[in-house]
Amino acid sequence: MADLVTHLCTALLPGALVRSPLVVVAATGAALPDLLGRAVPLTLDGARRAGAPIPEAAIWPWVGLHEPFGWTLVAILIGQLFVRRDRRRVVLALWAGGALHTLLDLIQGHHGQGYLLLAPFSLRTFELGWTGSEATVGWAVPLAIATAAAWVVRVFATRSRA
Amino acid sequence: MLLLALMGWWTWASATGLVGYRGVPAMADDTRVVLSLLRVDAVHGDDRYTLASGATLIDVVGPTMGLSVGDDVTIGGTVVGGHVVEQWREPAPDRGQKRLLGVAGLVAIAVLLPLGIRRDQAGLALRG
Repeated sequence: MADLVTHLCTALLPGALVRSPLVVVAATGAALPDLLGRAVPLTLDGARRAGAPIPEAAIWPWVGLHEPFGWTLVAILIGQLFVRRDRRRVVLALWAGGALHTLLDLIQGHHGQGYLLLAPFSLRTFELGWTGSEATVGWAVPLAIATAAAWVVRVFATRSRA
Repeated sequence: MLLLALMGWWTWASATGLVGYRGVPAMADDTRVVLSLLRVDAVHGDDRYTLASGATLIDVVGPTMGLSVGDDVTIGGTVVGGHVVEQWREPAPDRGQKRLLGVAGLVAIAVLLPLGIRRDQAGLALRG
C-alpha cells in the first residue's frame, strides 16, 4: 500500500481544479481503505502487544475493509449519515476516492502477494508491480507541497475573481 | 448486514489461514511462500529468527546478521517442518517513515473534513 499522504494527494491535487465540497469527501474516500483496513488493525495490534486484552480475532475483520467490496459497503454506510439530498453524491465521491486508492496500491509490487480485489468471491491476487511497496514515501513530501501550492493558487484565484 | 457478513468472512478466512499467514506453519514441506512486510519479533542466534503477523508467529531459518527486532522485511523461502527456510530477503527500511506519513495524513483529514462538511439538524451536510 502507498502512504496516506500520497493517497490524499491523488484526490486533492486534481481537486484543486474543482470547486466543490465533494473534493474533501473524495479525499476521505482515498484514505478510507487505509483508515479502516490498516490503521485500525495496526492500532489494535499495537495495543494487544502492549498488553491490552484484545483477541487476535478482533483484528482480522478490519483487514477486509481495505479491499474494494469492504470500502464500497462502508461508503454506503457513511452516506447514510448525510442528509438525504447529499447522500448519493457523497457515496459516489467516496467510491471515486476508494477507486483512486486501489489503483495507486495496484501499481506497487509485493513479490506476487498482491491485493485480494475480488474477495470474498475470489482469492486471486492482483498487482502490477511497477514500483516497490515503499516507493511513494519518497514522493509524498514533494507531492504534498505541490498539492498545497495548487490550493493556494486556487484560493487566490477565487478571491481575485470575487 | 452485508458489511457484517463480509467482516465475518474475513475473520473466518484469517482464522483458517485462507488469507493472511496463519496457515503457513501448517503447510506441507517444500511449499514455496513469500512473507510480505512482516515485523521481526525475535532474533535467536546467528541463523534463526521469528516473524510476526499480528499474533501469528512464524519461525524462520536464515542469517540474522543485520537483523533487529522491530525491522520490517519481506522474505521468500520454503516451508520445512513448520518453519520457513529463507531463500531471499528484502528489507523495508522506509516503513517507519510510512507510518509517520500515515499520522500526517490523519491530521490532514481532521483539518480538511470541516471545510467540506457541516452538521445539519437532519445529519451531516455538504458545505456550499
